[in-house]
Amino acid sequence: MNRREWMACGLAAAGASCSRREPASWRRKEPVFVLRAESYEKDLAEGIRRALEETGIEARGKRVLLKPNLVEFSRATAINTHPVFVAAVMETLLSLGAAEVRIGEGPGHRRDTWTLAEEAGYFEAVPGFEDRFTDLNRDDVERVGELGEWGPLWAPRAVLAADLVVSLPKMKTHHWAGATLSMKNFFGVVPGALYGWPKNVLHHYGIDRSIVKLAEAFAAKSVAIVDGIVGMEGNGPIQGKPRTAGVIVAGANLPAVDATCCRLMGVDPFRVRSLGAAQHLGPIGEEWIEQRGESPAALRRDFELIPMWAHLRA
Amino acid sequence: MDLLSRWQTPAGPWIESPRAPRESWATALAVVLKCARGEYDDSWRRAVAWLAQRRAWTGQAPGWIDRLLRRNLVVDQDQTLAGWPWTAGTAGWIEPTAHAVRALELSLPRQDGKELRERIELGVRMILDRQCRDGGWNYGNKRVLGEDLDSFPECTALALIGLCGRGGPQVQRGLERALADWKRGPRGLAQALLRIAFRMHGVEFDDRSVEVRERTETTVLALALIGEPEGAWRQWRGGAA
Repeated sequence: MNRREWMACGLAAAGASCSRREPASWRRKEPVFVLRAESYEKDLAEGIRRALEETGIEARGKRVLLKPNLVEFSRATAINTHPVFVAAVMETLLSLGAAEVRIGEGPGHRRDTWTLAEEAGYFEAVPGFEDRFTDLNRDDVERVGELGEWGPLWAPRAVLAADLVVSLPKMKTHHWAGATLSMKNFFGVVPGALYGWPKNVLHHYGIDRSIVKLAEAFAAKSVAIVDGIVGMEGNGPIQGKPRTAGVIVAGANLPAVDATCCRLMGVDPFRVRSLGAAQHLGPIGEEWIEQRGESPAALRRDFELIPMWAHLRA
Repeated sequence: MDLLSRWQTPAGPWIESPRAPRESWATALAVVLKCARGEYDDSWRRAVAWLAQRRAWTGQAPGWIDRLLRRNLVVDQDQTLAGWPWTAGTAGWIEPTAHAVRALELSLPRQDGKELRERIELGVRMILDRQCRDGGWNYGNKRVLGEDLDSFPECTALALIGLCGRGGPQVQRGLERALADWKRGPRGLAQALLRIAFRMHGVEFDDRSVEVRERTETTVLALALIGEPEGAWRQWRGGAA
């Protein structure tokens, strides 16, 4: 099914994806921590350390891969995970005893990942970036699953070799998916050298199905720390407007983290199709998420939604 | 060259790698290389035949649901123009189309034919259709949801490589955009590809060698060498200019 057909079917299936039923198998609440963070200037590392402690994320002795959201660069807007944020997470994990912290990304539009990273300020902000970074578009690959009629799903060895993958998305609305958060961020794990720029197979397989498929492949060893200090609203992930949300959101369960981010953006997570379809991986209902730190309701900032996603508003 | 011979399938295309044994978009590059080396052998013939019949997924004319939902405004492009895809069954994009057009044009002197020429022209029309409002190209979406998308210098260069030997106002606008990008001091892949595009189109420019660093990728290094004044860009251009 191609992207357009998938979008049309999505409308027809909206009722189903709006279902508020969750699997009954959740026996405990998943903790998600929300931290107020007004800017990138203040001491982020201390806040991130607290977020990791509050959500029980362990890094000691682990080989960690940070997966930021690095897509395109424009001085006019806020597309990418802020490099200062990535640096703060890296330093925090190292201080907590991580055996190794690497950074990996495979942008979907820009061919020259290194130059993109330089333009986006990663070399300047992240100590030792050049030695830590792997271009996931060109890494060696292993077969990790299937994309139906579209063939095998390959993943980079840098991701498979990590004990812990930390998804570091930017909090954004998305013109094809509704929202792009810690699960959608795994699109950057798919190797461009095999799938191209853009990774069009994921669109033909179905964007929402691909989000869930990738989450199924990587969620078990992944946690999320979301850069919601300045997010993007409207026509994201590229052409939207910067939107200050002033939050960092963290947790070990990706659907729970993404659902919390949705609430912070004024979006009903049950209406985001990929989240509705990922409930076997984690809860998205408030009753199964243990909110720690700040209350999402108190920090809610309604992100602008383009007309085709207006129905997502909580 | 040993690797080239081992990774080609009997049907014509090269595979991505033994680990990912799938028909590769890079078959077009292998054809370019064979043409540059004058190897018009059975391997080349099979690859050209495969490349010529490879078509990207193309959209259908919008039906009443499309019109009702205004879905024809999602992406503003002629969906019926079949370029070349990155992977089988998916849509066409600038880079694989530009490489395929160049590969088939280089093959024309040894395998001319109406069908091959028509296939090339369709690819050229697709590239021209995807030109961004700013005159350049990006990966292949010029306008989405009613908003213009910016071009990328490396994609502008690739599109111009695909349009090598052609003129007209659109190509001229593309070259002007490329020159404007060049003045902004692009580095890495964009710089390497722009040099090649300028030389292929016979455009004068203020040349600067590509800065080589420890992290510079092999692809960029190779393209930097190809784009030197006496580099292999002439073979990539062929008799097009």
